[in-house]
Amino acid sequence: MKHKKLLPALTAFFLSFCLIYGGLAAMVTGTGLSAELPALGLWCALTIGVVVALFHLPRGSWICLAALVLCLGVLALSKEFRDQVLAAAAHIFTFYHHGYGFEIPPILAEAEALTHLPPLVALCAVEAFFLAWAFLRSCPVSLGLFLSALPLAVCFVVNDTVPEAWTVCVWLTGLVLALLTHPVRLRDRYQGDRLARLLAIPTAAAVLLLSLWVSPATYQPPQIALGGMDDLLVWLRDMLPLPDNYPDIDLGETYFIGGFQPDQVTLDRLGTRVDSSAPVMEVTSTAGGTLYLRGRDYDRYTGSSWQGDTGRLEPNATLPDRYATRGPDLEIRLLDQTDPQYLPYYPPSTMTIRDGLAPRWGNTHHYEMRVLRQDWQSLWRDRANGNDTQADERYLQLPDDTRQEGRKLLEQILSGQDLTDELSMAQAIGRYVRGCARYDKVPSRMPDDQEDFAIWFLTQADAGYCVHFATAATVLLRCAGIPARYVEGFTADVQSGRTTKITQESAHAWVEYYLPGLGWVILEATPGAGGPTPIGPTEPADPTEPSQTTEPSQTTQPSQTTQPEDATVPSESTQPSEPTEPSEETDPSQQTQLTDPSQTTGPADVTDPTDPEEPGQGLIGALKGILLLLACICAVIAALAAQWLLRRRHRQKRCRGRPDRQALSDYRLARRLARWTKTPLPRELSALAEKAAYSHHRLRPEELGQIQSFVTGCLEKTRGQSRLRCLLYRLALAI
Amino acid sequence: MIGRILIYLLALAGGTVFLFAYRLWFAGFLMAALLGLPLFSLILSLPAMITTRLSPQVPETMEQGTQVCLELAYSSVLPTPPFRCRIRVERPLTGQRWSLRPESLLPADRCGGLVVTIHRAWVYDYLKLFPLPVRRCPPRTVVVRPRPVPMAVPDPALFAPAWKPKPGGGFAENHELRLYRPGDSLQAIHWKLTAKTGKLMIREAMEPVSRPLSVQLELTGDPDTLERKLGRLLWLGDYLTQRQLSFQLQALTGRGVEVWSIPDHEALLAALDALLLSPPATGGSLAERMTAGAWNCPIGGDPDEA
Repeated sequence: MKHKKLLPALTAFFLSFCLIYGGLAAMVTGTGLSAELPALGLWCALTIGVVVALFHLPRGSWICLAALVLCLGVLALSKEFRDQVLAAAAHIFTFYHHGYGFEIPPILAEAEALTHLPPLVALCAVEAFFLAWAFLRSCPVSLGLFLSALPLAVCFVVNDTVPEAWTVCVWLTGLVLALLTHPVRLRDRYQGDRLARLLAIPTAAAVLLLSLWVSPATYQPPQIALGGMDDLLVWLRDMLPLPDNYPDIDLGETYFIGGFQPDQVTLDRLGTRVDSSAPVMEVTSTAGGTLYLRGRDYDRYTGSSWQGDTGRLEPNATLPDRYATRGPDLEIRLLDQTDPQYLPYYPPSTMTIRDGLAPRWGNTHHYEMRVLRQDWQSLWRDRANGNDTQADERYLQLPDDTRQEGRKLLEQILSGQDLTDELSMAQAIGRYVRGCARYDKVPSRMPDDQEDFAIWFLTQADAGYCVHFATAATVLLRCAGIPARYVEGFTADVQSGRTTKITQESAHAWVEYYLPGLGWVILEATPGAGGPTPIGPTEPADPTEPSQTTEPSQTTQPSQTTQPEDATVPSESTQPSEPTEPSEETDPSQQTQLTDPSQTTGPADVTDPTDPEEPGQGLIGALKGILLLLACICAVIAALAAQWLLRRRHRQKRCRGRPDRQALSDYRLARRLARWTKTPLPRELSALAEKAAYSHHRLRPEELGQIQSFVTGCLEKTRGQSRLRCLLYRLALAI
Repeated sequence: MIGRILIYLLALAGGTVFLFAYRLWFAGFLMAALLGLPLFSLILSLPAMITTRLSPQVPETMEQGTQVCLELAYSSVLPTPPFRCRIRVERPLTGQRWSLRPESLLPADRCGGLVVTIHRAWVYDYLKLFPLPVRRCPPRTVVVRPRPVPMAVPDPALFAPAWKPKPGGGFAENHELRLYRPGDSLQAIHWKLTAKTGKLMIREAMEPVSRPLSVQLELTGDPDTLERKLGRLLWLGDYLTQRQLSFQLQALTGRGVEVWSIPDHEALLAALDALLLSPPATGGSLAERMTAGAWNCPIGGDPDEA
């Protein structure tokens, strides 16, 4: 009788915990709500335990409902709790505000709270009530599942709230178990619970294998002919009740990375960088080196985002002949129809850039590149100051507060240096930004009390990735009066004469600043990016940084993890060493020497089948294989151990306890053995088992012996079976 | 199941839209989970689906007019997956058929045997997406016994036994006195009475001779008539067996003429149960099978017969 209450309670607890904690943890990891996961887990366990225990009281569901309403009512009277709820809602709503332009209601905008744990626990209690109602009262589970999916759904409306994979796996395990067992539970609750216990390990193993197979690190979104996809997205856009200030998206020219994304880069909620190995384009070059492919630029900085103003129409002028020389030939074949045309530095002829994008006219583009001459810096410094064309004023735009803070910072950065021209200042700024923080794909988010992303990153943050560094450099350049803009695109190491497949992992952000008389020049502000042999006029990356095609996952640089105490002149330990003369690295004559594949770094993804596989990928594959093998072995061991435990329990029951219990245990064994050995089970045994189960009289020794003799006879029969069959039977029994 | 399949297809369509609209890892993970879930469910359910056995749980006999729920017993190696079946109930006596769901009431408003068969039984995987037929189980029978219907009883004297001389003489409880006839044994002479009367008197041992009792029943007529006939048979059988009178039951059924010897109440019920499960007679008569010299009691179905 005790087990009849305890086991269903434990099963309901387990299922509810998976569903509730998985969903809430996903929301916390995805949106960065202020709640510690272990604390959340403990609170969830406590809340679910109390709810399940209350459900076992007489009229427990009503008692639980009353307690829930009472607790929520008391909490609602507390101003602190109300503030926490509003603050959590505001925190989540901010993503929608940035993603879709929904205005944050004033009541949410003013809410502040130190922790978001209490609202999450309250939500957990509500979910636990409905799930316990479904699991312990055999009621429909739809409402409970819907509630448990709500926190998860919050994360998947915008692209920058990706939860951690394990949270989704926990939730999915609970969901699959609930879906599989609920039809049985509706008919027979105890059988449903028994099924849930039986399926728990296989389901968890299956979800684990699935997560290994569809891993976030190697996931590639499907490539489809997106002719109809545009129509679908337009239809979706028309169907969604988007506000009027939602930016009008011209799908033919919008820059998509990672899906349906409006024309802005949200900075204040910038979280983990999510890479995807989805191929974007294939590039074939006649020279090797690091290639920058410009996607789109953003001109307006708001302090919390980059926004691309619409209606911009400007020429992307080619290099003046004075600074240019013939570069390699380049062929770009785009694989995704929603992508814009990616421009190399520099295309051979003037192109019109509309709203920061080059219009696309086909899938394959061929360029006879022009690159900067080796001595372009000296040429530019020696130029005759005349009627140089100036950049648009929009590329100097900054919020007033940002400009003031940036200028203060800039004074500290540039003081003590004799910098006379824009080029020198840009190089100094680039050096400073590259050294001000370490590279990390999982940086901390900007705190809510900060108003400007670039200033926060330059003064307080200790880590970031390309978006952080490029934003900071662009803001500093604008503070210095140099027109600059934030650019997103791709970088990749290409090999001469080979086709390189560029994937989403190579997505990158950098800075373009304007030099009068020359045009827009790249400034690489991210430490370690750009590679050792850029094709084109980039500001070289810190040579001390590891060179790589894609951004490093965890570039740990102890010397750079802390902000220099005296930021006026960065110390050697915190600043990158003086880079070599940029002309040496951007010299086109050198580029021609780099066409030998053996002298260049390996490509990101070369389609040549003769290329050796990258060692990292092979290692990952081997690790995956080992993990799969280990999982299989563990599953078999677990099955055998479960079977052994089962047998041990049966043996204990048979050897100890009252004759009735022994008889019941023997009868169960007899039933299984009879099924296996295909021996008809005598009716007398069933009658004896019923007597043992339901009668008040104890079985006599001779009655018990009757069952035991049958068991012994069946066991004798099994002696002749093959060992393999015995093992299979044991496994099947365990499973 | 169709509802479940529709829900699954809707989820699949939603997952597909999400896959192409969201494009990050979770969209692919969700899609893979959606695609793999039915297969996973099928693999887990297959042992249980294959070994599922269904059988109707009904009492062997029941009284007419009682309400008995039609329950199903199910078993499999794992907790039994969801299943669906129809239960066909047939009353051979009247040829009526019903298709019932589990948990419905058995049609016990009239007497007669009921043959309960499970048909169209499908077991599904745990997700209720894939069906598999369940192996047929043997049909179960329920006998709905009639209520006794009183009938006119012949004079009890008819049941009184006749006496005949016991061949060979010997001990007997009853004796007859008569005059001596040549050939009588000397031991049978009643000397005392002979002395008193002066004539040779014989004391002859007698033994009882009971007339064979035969009850005839023709399983013909409409359901009301059949019900009356069977009710009368039950009443008469009870009446006779309570008086420890054995009789022979001759019944004309769809299988022909069947004969039972009824010495006691159990035999009566067994014969009645067999009759209730028999098909009705389509032709013929029991008139020519009346036993000569026996007390024949045909049971009719006329309502005024009582």
